[in-house]
Amino acid sequence: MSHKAANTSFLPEFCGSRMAYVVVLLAQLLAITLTLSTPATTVAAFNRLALYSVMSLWVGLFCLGALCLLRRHVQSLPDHLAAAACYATTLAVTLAVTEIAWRLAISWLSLSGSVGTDHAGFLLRCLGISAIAWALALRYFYVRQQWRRRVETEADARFAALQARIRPHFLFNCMNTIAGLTRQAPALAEQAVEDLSDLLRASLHSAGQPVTLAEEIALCKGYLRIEQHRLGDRLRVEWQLPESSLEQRLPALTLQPLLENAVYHGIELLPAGGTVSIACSVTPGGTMITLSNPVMPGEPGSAPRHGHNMARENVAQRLAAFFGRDGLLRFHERPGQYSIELLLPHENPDR
Amino acid sequence: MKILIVDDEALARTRLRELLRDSDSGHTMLEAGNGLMALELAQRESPDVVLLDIRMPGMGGLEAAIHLARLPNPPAIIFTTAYDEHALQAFEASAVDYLLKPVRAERLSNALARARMLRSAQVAELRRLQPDARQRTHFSIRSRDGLLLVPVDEVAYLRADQKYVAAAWREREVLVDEPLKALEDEFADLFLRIHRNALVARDHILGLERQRDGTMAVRLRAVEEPIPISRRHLAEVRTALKGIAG
Repeated sequence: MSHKAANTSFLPEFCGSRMAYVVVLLAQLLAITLTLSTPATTVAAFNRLALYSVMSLWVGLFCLGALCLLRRHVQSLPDHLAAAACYATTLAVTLAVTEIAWRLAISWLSLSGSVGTDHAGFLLRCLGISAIAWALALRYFYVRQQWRRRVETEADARFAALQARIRPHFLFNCMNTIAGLTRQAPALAEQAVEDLSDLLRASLHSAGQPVTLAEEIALCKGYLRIEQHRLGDRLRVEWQLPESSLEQRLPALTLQPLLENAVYHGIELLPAGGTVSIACSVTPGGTMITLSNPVMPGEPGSAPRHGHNMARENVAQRLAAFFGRDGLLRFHERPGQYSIELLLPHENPDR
Repeated sequence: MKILIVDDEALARTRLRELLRDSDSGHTMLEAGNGLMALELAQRESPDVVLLDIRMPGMGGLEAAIHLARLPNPPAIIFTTAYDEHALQAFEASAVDYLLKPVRAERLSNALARARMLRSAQVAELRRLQPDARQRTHFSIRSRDGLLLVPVDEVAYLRADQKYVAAAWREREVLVDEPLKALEDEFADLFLRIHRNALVARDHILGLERQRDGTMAVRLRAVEEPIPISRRHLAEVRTALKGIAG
């Protein structure tokens, strides 16, 4: 999602005391590990620990400083480039710090006993240790960020799925209708609650389950009754349902979301309202349902918005899953009018 | 208190009216079914507060609020909506008053008690929200008799003079007090820039015409004089016209 775009780099914030604390801790643990790895007397071990600590802290903190400066420049790069840049930087800083340490140790501190006499060997050993440590660290940052991203996407997907089933716009408007009816016409309020319950139950439990066209239409009529309370005579509905089409089987919630689109994107935006027409005809290839509604002609921004497509896609998926093939849903749009055709095959090869 | 209730749903208006009557029988209540009717009523009646639904056919609440704020005595505005995530975030951020439907009686009276006019920063925020919902459908023109609402699609051209922008509407020119650049940005799909100081409505263009002095001009429906095209914009205008013809 767009609002997370600014924060997609897997690199954590390197500047700050929290990260410095982590680096100090890890550097110290590394120094202890290195000390424990060779047998020595207590005094010698402590000497060695001191030396290792100084070395690993220097390298760690200088690398951290370099990463802190670098992050701003590489965070917009693709992950692999950013990782390569960071890794190369840590190795270069390690090499520089190690070289300086070697010179200090040899020329001023006469510590040659502790570091040995092999200059290249010293550099390579330090570089090797640092290379392994930073590779682990970068890998850890990457994995952690992947994990976070997955958690976020999953949450978004779940939310979108829920919204596709129960549109908040409809739900809250419906609640308002019921609140209004409760005083003026308690019997109608009661009916609206029943209709809404049927719709919610269908949305939560039986979306995509097989039903007959008659059952789906009963659900649609309940939905339209609710909208009728809100929109009054602005919403007019025309049904053409031949008796023979009513036994046609289809996945539940195929027609209702399309009707909801017709109301939300069409009728509601027209000052004088309009007529939604639903016509079924039985053909040799299956039952053909045509749903059409007027839309605001040439209204800037009236083009189907995101929600529109989402409902359509849901219906298309439901049909494909149920009938096992595609191409059952067709849309036509001309100025002022929007229509959808659904072809429901008579026989269902999957069942 | 004089309260104007604006909602396209009769039931929603009735509910608000009843809540208001329950809380205080002294309120005077007016009702309108969309933004345009609300503006007309507000000019005539000068309400203290407008309860304004966001999603309405014709002119929606966000646009109506922008025009209402330009009235000589702008009313306080409280938006009402069942669900509009996008607008609500913006309202929250810019402290615009709003109520969620179904509205609770005590929230309504709280909102009325602290209702106030929109500040200019808030109007700017509403404007910013506009493109996402729908563009403004009308220009509001300040005149001696109050606000004149001019449908955007009836304007043939917009021409900038020294300090103001003149809009050609029904064989006369009215003054829009907004910069030409801002108008160009807002209505890029409706108006085409043909000159440093002129935008013409794409739908009103009849064709191009060569003038006696060799320069080009645009002929517009219901406008007598051709409007000159500057040389710098000629190529763009030609491309755009091809797009319209095709």
